[in-house]
Amino acid sequence: MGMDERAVTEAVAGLELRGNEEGLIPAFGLYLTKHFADYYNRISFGLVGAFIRELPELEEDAIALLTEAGHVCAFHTFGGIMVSVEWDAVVRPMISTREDWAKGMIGVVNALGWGRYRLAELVPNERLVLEIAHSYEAVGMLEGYGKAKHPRCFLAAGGGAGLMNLLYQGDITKRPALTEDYYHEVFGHPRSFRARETRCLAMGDSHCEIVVERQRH
Amino acid sequence: MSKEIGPAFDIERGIIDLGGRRVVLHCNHYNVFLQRTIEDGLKARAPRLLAAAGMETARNLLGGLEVKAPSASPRESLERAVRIFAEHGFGAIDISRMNDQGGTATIARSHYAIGWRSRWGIRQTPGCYFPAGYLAGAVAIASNLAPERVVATETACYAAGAEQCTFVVEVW
Ligand SMILES: [Zn+2]
Repeated sequence: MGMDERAVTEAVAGLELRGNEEGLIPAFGLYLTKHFADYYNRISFGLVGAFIRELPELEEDAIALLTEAGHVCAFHTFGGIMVSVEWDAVVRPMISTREDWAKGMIGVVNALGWGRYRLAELVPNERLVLEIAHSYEAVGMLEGYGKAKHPRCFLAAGGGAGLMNLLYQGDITKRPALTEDYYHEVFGHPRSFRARETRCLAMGDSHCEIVVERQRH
Repeated sequence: MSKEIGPAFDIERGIIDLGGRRVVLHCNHYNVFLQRTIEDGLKARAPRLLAAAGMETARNLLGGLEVKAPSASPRESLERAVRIFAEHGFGAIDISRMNDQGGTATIARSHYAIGWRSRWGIRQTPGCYFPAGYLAGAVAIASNLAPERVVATETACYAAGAEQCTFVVEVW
């Protein structure tokens, strides 16, 4: 039947997730928050800003740390969602290929408020290109800090790499337990996927572009 | 009671808007991992950044809502802040021992504290910086106070081994 990304987005948005009597949102085997972009941007750009001012040679390290947080996010959030009963109910019936898993996940992401993601290119086991409109990181950068010299969508980059790692380095379709050991096995592999942001709204580009490929050594 | 404004989803842009600010969904793993990244990177300065970011986030959000749908009283404003906090998954804040000039608040099951403890176990110091900052911002907006006049300190935290999280909010 083919993957209908928009139907997935609508279904997830339609869940109307909100806190229970304890003020928590258990969903997809996780505790979700409907957090605020302002907070993530202030703490992330605060960290990068401090490094640039005091240890400019370590800017790349700060970015690597924040991108690693994106890997962790993808592993647990995307991974958790892809092994959840909600995924089975809504997305699984539309899946016929491994690439449909990626398309279905983009449909989910488009309900999370991160901006509008478009899967521009997916070469199985090799390469992913994501185009993002209204990335909350880039928008927050422009709004609070002005135009950037370098890309600023650390979560989006880490998330893109994570999606490819879950599908082609590990195998999320087999419902692995999402343990620390499995994380290190998949993301620590020397040929695992990593992302580069090749265009960024925060740098004045019309949108953000994330290119994900395997590491070469 | 003021008109309630809820998050609005724009599917074409992938944006969830609440009172003019962006809402983005993330899970416990990312939230506590990112916090730890900031704490490891900034060491002693991290608590200040994390709490200040929480406070400014709350002030922008709640201040915007007060403009669009003014609360009838400081108490009502504070109650809206608490309601949003719980609806957004951060935990249920008990403000029965607080008034618009501060006091003591508790969270029985704080998202950040539960997330931290389940991932890394008990930590040495309280870890609910976002909730503390948010509370301070909520009081500043509710009572129309300059931000520097409000300080919220987490005096006990589930993530540091306490039964629940306790916050003392002081107004200078
Ligand atoms: Zn706590």
